[in-house]
Order: sequence, then structure tokens, then C-alpha cells
Amino acid sequence: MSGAAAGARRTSLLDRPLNKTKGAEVSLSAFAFLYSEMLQYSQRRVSGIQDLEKRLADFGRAVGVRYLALHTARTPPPHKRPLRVLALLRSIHTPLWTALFGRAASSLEKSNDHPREFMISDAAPAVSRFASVPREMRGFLTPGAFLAGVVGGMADASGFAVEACTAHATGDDAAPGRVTVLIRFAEGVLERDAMLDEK
Amino acid sequence: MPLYSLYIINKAGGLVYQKDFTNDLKRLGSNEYLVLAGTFHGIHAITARLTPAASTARGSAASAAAGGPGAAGARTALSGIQVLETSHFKLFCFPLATGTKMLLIANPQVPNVDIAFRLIYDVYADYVMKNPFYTPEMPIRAERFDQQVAALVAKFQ
Repeated sequence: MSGAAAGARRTSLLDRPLNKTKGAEVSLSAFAFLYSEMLQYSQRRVSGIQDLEKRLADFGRAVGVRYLALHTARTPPPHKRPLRVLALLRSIHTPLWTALFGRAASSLEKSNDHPREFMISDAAPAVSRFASVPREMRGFLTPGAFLAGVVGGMADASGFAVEACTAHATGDDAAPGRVTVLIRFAEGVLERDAMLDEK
Repeated sequence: MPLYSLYIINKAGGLVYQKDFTNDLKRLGSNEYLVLAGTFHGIHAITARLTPAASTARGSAASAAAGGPGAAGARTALSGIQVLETSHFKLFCFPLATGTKMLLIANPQVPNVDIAFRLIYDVYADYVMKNPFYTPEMPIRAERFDQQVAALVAKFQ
């Protein structure tokens, strides 16, 4: 996740160049500690696990919406807004994910269960790299809920209405921290896609 | 089997983690492990005070005493027990910057476990301290820490 690097020279946030990302990366440890604190902060303020996931997703949503704008501003023109669902998902999967986490997400798939559902998964996302979910919450909570918010926020802000966006811990022995974000678009989004194809 | 078991004791002397790496050890009750950890914590604090070099470091030790035994400042000058040797095992103590102590119990033939401590410390910093569900000073129940430690120790066996 790129952010502000504390330089020796004191400059205000607004004076810093918007396009400078090199050398402004935040270390994984710093991010892990920050995310731990976000989770614990939320945990003290919720009544249940679903509430907690929603709170994490809300954090992610704010990041997703803003990061989309920032990333667009940083990309050299011409700016092409994704018009198709697949183009949108690909842009989240590769350029946006790389800008946020330093590498592309692991996979992008279409769900077999539902025609409007797609899955983006990351084998070792920064949000769950070091997390061990306690036994009593296992299966109920994924620390990756934040990612669902990021993806949902980006899709929504790009003009693709999202009906639901959830994160699931799908870790196995090879990739214990794997998180899969399931995104279901609202009705009409895919119909619009089909209409564009007809033209 | 050079490494027998790992203990992690918090700065108040409570046992937060205990793991045996061999099946040859007799398992104790959980209370007995707590007593062992508390006893070691006390002895460690006493030995830290017994160090002959203490007089030179008294200034820093006095300020640290307010923070209790093992507080930062006293640690570098007065480290307390580092190794305890017996005919059947060696006990190594590795104090962390926060006052937490790691103990490794090893075969008496093992000269030192510095590398093992360094690697376990790395894993501890990653999978315990960066785990969003961990509360400092509380018992460590992190599945991935267990896995990482087990993998690490297997390399030394």
C-alpha cells in the first residue's frame, strides 16, 4: 500500500507530488500493525462478528473508492474507463491490485453457482499474512473482509452497481492466508454488457 | 533431538506459550508449567541483581526498577540467567526488548542456540505480534505461529 514517506524535509501533504509512488511504499510490517489496530479498534465497537466484518468492509470501501480516483490520476492519459464487467474485473485484478499491494491478485474466476458472481482471490494478501483467526471465530470471520470492501468500492465507483461483495477465507495448506472476494453485480449490469456487445 | 521445548514468559512472569518438540518428555499439568515459569521469572530477577557488575550500572537499574524486573535499561547491564546447565539438559534464556523472555530447553551437548532464538524471534514478531487477534501479555493461541515454530525446529533436529 503506497502512502506518504516521512522525509527529512518538512513539506505539507498537499505540497507533495501526487504522482510520486517510488520510495513511498509502506513496509509490510507497518501495514500489518496498522491493520491489527484497525481490527482491534473495530472489535471493541461491535456486537457481533457480522458487524465486525461490515466495519472492516467499510474501511476497505473508503480505500477502494479513493484509490480508484488516485490511481486514475496517476495513470498517464488517455484515461479509459472500463465499460465491460470483465474489463473492470481485470483492471481491479491487475493494475489496481498491483498499485495497492505490490503485485497482482492470484486469480480471477467466474462463479458457477450464480450468473452475476465473480471471484477474485489472493493467495497471500497483506491483510491476513500474519493472522491466525481464533478457534471460536474460525469459519465466521475472515480478516480479508477489508478486501471485499476495497473491491466493492472500486466496482461501485466505476459505475458497476454491486449487489453484494463478501470475502471468504479459502486457505489450504499451501496458501493458509488465501482470501477469495466474491462479487455479485446488481441486476442489469450484465444486461448492459450484453447490449454493448450487440452494438 | 537437540531441542526439547520452548517456553515464552511474559513480563509479569506468566507463561504465555509452552511447546515440547519431542515425545520423550513427561507432560506436566498446566498449573505446573505456570509454576515453573513463575519460578524461573523470580530466579531470573534475583540473578539479575546478583551480577557483580551491578554497581556500575546501578544508575540505570534504579530508574528501571520502577518498571519492575526485566524493565528496559537494566537488561543490557544486568541480564540475569543466560544459560543453566545440568547433566540432562541445558536451558537457554533469551530476553526480548519488551521484558518477555523466551526459554529453550535443549540437549546438554548443544553449545548454543543463538540462531534458533533469532529465527524463533522473527517468527514471534511476525505471527504473534502482527496477528490482529493477539492481545499482548496474553497466552499465545496462534495456529500459524505453531506451524512456523514446528517447521523451524524441525530444521534443527
